[in-house]
Amino acid sequence: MEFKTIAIVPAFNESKNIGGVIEDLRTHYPTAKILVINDCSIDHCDAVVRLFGESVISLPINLGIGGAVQTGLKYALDNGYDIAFQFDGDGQHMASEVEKIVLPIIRREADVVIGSRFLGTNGYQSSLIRRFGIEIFRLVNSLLIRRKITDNTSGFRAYNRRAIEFLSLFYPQDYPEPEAVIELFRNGFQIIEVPTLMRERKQGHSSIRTFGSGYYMIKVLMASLIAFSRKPVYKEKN
Amino acid sequence: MRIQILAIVASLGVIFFIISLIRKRKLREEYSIMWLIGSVVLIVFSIWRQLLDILAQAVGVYYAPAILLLIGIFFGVLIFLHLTVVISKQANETKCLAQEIALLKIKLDEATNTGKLEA
Repeated sequence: MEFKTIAIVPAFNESKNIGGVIEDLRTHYPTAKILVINDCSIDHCDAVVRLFGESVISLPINLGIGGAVQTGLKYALDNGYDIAFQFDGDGQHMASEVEKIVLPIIRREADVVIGSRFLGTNGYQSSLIRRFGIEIFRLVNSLLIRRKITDNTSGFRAYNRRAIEFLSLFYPQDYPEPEAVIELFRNGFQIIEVPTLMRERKQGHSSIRTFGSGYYMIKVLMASLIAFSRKPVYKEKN
Repeated sequence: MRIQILAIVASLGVIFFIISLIRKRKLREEYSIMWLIGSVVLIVFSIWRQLLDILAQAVGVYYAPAILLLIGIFFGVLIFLHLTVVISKQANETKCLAQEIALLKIKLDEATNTGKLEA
């Protein structure tokens, strides 16, 4: 059976990176449809995507990474895709690594696959201060869901149809990644991690600035705890 | 006595102002309830002056008018909280609308490109 696969590429002012991202995906993972979500950028990165002849959804207002990715998931749901994977528009994810996160979905080993920088020992692993934050998320999430997720902030993820359905309704809006892990776990989704390589950003800035990282930490930790305390909303069909 | 009349008149004025805002459709009923309850409480205290003393004595407050401040602050905070709930709801609705518009736009683009629809 052929799986319809879509690459959801959130982009905010990534006109310098987006072309490279598209070429990377075309070269190393040509079977996936490429869908860029332009989160109300001011640098015409949607025009760049159109120049490349790929699909782009332009949001009329800036929704943040979570709202952007969710838009892509809604598109995937509406258009009957079996597998969706998130692939950041800043060039830090590698298309040659996509196979690793998609394969467990095809083999029905998991509903959600997270590409982790820390399971292997190669590639870019973020700065020291960020690793400290990531370490805290790992600790908290491990305590909450009693499972070791090493890279809770990784946006390099693949979802099956069931997870797409759930997340198109319940995806956290800003700084969504660690919170989404808990929401998915609480609603009975099978999450696994695979080691993947990542690159350092080429151009532009991360959505998490050093100045706001304290706020980021508190917001994410609070959201994670609250997500954990929520009752599961999604009843398994089988 | 003069202060009592003044208080009653002022409270009634607030109620009429809120109702007139609703009538002019400048304030929705659902958001006016907090204000109306607040002003009714004000009226009750203006008319029944001993209530303040009774209340103060019951909870052990030495200076009775302090209760008035407490109630005022309580209502103020309650309304703030109510407003942030409303804002959160609207933020969520705005997000859904933005996503829906964006999805419709790309659907239109795709239909135009595949020739199912004339631009």
